[in-house]
Amino acid sequence: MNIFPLKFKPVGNDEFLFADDAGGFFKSDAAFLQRYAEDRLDPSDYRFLDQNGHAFIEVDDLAYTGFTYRWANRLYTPSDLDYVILVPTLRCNLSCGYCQVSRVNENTPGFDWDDATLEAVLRFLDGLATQRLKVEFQGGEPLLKLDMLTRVRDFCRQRFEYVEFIVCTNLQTVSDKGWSFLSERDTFISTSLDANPEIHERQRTIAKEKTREFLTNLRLAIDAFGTKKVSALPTLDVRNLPEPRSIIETFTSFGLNSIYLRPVNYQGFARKRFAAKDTASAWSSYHSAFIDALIEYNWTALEPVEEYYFAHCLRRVLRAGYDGHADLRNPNILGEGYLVIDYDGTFYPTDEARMVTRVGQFDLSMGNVRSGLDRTSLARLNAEAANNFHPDCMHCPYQAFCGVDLVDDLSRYGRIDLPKHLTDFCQRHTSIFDKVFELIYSADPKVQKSLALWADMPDYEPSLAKVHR
Amino acid sequence: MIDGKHKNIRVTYVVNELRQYLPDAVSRLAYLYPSVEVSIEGGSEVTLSGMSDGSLDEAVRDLHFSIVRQKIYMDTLPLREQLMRGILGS
Repeated sequence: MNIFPLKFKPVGNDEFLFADDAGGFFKSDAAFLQRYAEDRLDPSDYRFLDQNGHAFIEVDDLAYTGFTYRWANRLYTPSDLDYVILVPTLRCNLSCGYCQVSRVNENTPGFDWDDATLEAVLRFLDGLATQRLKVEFQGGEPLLKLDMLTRVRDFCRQRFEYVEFIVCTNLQTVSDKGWSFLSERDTFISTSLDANPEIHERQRTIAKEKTREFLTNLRLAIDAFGTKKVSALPTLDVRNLPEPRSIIETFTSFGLNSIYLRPVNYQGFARKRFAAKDTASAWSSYHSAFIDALIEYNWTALEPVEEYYFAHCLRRVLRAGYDGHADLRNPNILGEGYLVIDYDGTFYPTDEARMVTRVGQFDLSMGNVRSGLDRTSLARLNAEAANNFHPDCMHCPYQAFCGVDLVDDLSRYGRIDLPKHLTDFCQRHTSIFDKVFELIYSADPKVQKSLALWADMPDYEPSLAKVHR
Repeated sequence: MIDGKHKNIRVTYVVNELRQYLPDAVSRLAYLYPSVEVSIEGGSEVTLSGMSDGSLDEAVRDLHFSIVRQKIYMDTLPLREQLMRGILGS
């Protein structure tokens, strides 16, 4: 019998987590590791490995074919370009200290699409092969260019069979025309709600009156359109983290049950204001405590709450195919499935690449709407976009669930060849997957309840937590 | 244990069957624990020096893990390549 390669890490007192390249996992002990390493597996080892998809008799038998199928499904395959992030303006009516997108003041000229750029954007969209498109309007504050948003939406509705629009707005000042635009069935709102009203005011609105305006608009949006159409994200300052409970209470008071915690991002103009470069450890501790607080909350809550990214990572562990988050894919091919069109018509593979380019670190642009796409500069980067044979990742039991974020590495370190364990990406994701497996193997009924909810299971399934002794 | 220069040291041994993986494991240890000095005597006796006692214990543990990981990697590389060819058709 042949064994598919197993990767391992110690996870407790004489406990090891083992996982294969297709994402199968189990716990065992040091004695098993020794038998495995010294080619001395016993009949009970072979029986366990065979019954759990870690072994095969010969190439192309059922076990081998099943394993290749599971492995292939763990790999992200970019589709036709079907997601565009459009930045019709960099102007914004707020001046948040951590602003992740380079922005300019509301009245600064020269940072909007002009008519020629709009026409070029529409021609580009017209040339897409897909019939299903998702359009995300970012900024700046995109509602300041409502005329352009309307023209894009009108065009896309008649061009594509299915299209969806997301407006990333600060909901600070919304005109009647703005509300009318947002009310349409195919249009969704994504906004920022920084933890609680006090922190939101400190980080974003500064003045009480502006905080009141925003909270009133958020309430209006949710009352009018429902939480299926409105989402809100908190961005948190790692140096000043709030009590988890205060975030949960604020979000649930608006009926928002999915919370996507994000630390201030070390990119764009934010790097000038915040020393957020080496905060992975503090952030991971906080994130773990937040998950614990959610588990406690969900035990008695009528409407359970999830932390979006943790739930996403959990689902990636339990099932293949969860490739919807652009920051966590393997391989993470840039410039294929989606792209960004900036205020001046320049193409970027991601919003982060736009910021890296804007602050002058690297030029990660890929042409513009007038001259067309140019993927030359990304080709070399994409050659490093997989973790399967990375000299660090290939030994990590989390490899099949994890991904690669080369733009994040470039942004933070100016290079992509640092030992993985020294990168923010690796440290944060190792911590998240440690927590995921801590919960999967927990006997606490409170944990099992939340785990089942977040994994979309009717009940906790004990057979997930395989152990071999 | 403290040596003559007041450095902490650990001595560990690698069984014959795993000796061939030692050089790769030591290379890996060099960037996991850049302040640890490693010397090999007779192909199987490994001395690690520097750092605090606790960290040195971790370094010894990770050295052995690295040896095992390198063995698994080398033993299974042909299978991994075959699987990859099957999946990617190349």
